[in-house]
Amino acid sequence: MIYIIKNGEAINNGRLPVESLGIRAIDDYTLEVELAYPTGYFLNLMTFMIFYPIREDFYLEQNGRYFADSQNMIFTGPFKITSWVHGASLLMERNEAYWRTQEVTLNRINIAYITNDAAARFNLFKDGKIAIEEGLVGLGAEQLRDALTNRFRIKNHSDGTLFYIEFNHRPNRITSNLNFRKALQFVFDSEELVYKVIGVAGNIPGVAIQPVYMHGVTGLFRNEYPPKRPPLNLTLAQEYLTKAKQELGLESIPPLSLLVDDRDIGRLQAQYLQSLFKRTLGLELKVDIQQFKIRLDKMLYGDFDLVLAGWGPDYEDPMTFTDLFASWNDNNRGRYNSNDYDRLVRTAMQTADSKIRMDAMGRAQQMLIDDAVVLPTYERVANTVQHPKLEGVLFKQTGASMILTYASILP
Amino acid sequence: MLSYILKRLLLGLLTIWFIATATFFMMHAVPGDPLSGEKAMSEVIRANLMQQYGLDKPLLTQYLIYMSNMLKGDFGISFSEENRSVNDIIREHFPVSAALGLVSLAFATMGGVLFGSFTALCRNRWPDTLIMFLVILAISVPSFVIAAFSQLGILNLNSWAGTTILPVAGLNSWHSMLIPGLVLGLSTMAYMTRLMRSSMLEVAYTDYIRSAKAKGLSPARIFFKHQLRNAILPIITVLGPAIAIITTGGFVVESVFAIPGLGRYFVQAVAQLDYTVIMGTTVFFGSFLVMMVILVDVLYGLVDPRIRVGKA
Repeated sequence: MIYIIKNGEAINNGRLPVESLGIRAIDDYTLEVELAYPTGYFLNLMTFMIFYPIREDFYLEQNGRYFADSQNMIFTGPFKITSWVHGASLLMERNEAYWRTQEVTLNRINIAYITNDAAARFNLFKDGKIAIEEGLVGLGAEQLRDALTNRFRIKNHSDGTLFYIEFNHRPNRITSNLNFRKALQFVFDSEELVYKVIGVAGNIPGVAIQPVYMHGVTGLFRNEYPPKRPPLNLTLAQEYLTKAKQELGLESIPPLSLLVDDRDIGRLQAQYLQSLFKRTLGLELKVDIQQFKIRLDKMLYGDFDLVLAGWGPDYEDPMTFTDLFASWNDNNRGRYNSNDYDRLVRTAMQTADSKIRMDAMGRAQQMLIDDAVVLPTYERVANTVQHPKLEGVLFKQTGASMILTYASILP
Repeated sequence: MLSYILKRLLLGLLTIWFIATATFFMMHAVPGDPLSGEKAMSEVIRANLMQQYGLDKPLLTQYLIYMSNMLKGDFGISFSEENRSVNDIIREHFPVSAALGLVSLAFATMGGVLFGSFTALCRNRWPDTLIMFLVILAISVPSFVIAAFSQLGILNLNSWAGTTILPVAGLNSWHSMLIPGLVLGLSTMAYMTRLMRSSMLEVAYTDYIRSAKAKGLSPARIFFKHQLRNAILPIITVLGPAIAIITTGGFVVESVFAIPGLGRYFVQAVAQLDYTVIMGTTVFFGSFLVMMVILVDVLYGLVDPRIRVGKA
């Protein structure tokens, strides 16, 4: 990602000194960036965390405690953290140094409770202690029902994350066989998974590796490049499986391992997939439940056949999902490797022409379906409750999700 | 006595060393490391970071470096909390856990002794059966269920009263500790009740109680002076580990009631493979447990003069 800047790659690999980086400050308010090649999504890319500036003198003054406590922080945004009791509470106040501070109406934001227990957050809301809650996941099915009964104001928003079943494409794996993957693709129904198995209102069944909110040339990417998904077909799936067995020289398919996270939603999906593939194709799945980090490590070293993985956007451009399956991407942990796909990614990366870029990424999106590289499961949507007097809270899919800059409290 | 305490302290140090060493090597045997995250990094960057954190050195060298730092009282910097030292984490969050722990310990011991004695006194009558039933319930129902239910209970109480009688969560005043403390101490209280009951019954049939009765002492005097003091010994035995477990092991309760104790660091560090925090909290908890056990052993002698240590 940083290689789009001139000499970025060479500096990163230690072949050139840092001074040769294609970035210069012309004066106090102008930054000149020289790119390695035309990058159509450069401005969107700049919203990603790693491009945020750090004030050097302030950083050095903190003596290794940069951002460790509220007094070690510095802010350019609409609010600043003025007090932070770790794990307990945060107090934010309006930042006078923010360039549009006169547009900000909230003076103070009191984050009085910090807990990762969604039920506890919901109870605090019911008790009238908080105006809005936010967590990694929104309300569960149970709390959602409760909120509906109580006629609370429910807002839902996509947090941007897309989930999918990723196959292990490493050469000696059964899942590297295209016909085998197709067999699974023809029986897997993301709608059934989302509506009947996961059952939390709002989640969108997965159809492609581009989320529904992503923008294309002028409108939504999904409308401009509608993914063509083959309809479910059990007979065809079984034919594909027979073909796969012939190609692999196997009488029957040995049990495959399905790697999932140690979370309720992971277990739930694993149980469903286990029974689905058993019922339709007679396949055995061994479920390998691991903690998040260990799951990632096993993915990295290819110790899986299928894995329930996901990806959230780093920046607002289809490229943040497209380049996931490029052969050079370290996040391509299934090691899908296709020259055609790589070529499409390169085309989209190295031109400023929006139409050419989107066309290439549209074709790439279809290729992931045709090659059954992954099977999209769902796009996550979080439901939250909000106090009726709180207005103007926005959510975005990239980066930190909640925006309180334009929020206000009705009289 | 002094030489006994010294011997125990020495053994305690050995135990802590063993805990630290075992944790260190087990932790490194788990696949993955603190640097692995959702966004993969290139080999070059990874190697650089490994070097910066000293993770590229042989495991034994890392172990020696860690141990020598630990002896100096430096537990290092957390991998997952930006630039925050493990010493700071323990210093800030342990007092919260300890305060909550003391509240629940008070509930547990007072309740345990009270209910235990009471059930022993009315053995096999309905109060005994009822309390023993509740005891089994409290031991077998996991704390997250009890925590969730009691939070719901507070919520309903507040909405019924139309005002905040007890806070649903958070740590703002002393009475935000009451319900979490009770929930945290409940299973220990139940366990102590059982222990107290059986120990009271055991004592009730001893010769000296029979003599006391024969002497014509009042039942109250027999109960307080002879029965209770002799029967309370097992409670003191479990008190040591109980203090350590309760003051440090409230992860679920802390999470449900949004209390910023050390428990969550203890649990989350493992999930995040935050090496320094895993080591810091484990060694700290381990030392605390060892200290408590020694303290209790010393206390024995004071409560029960029959137990004389150090004199072979």
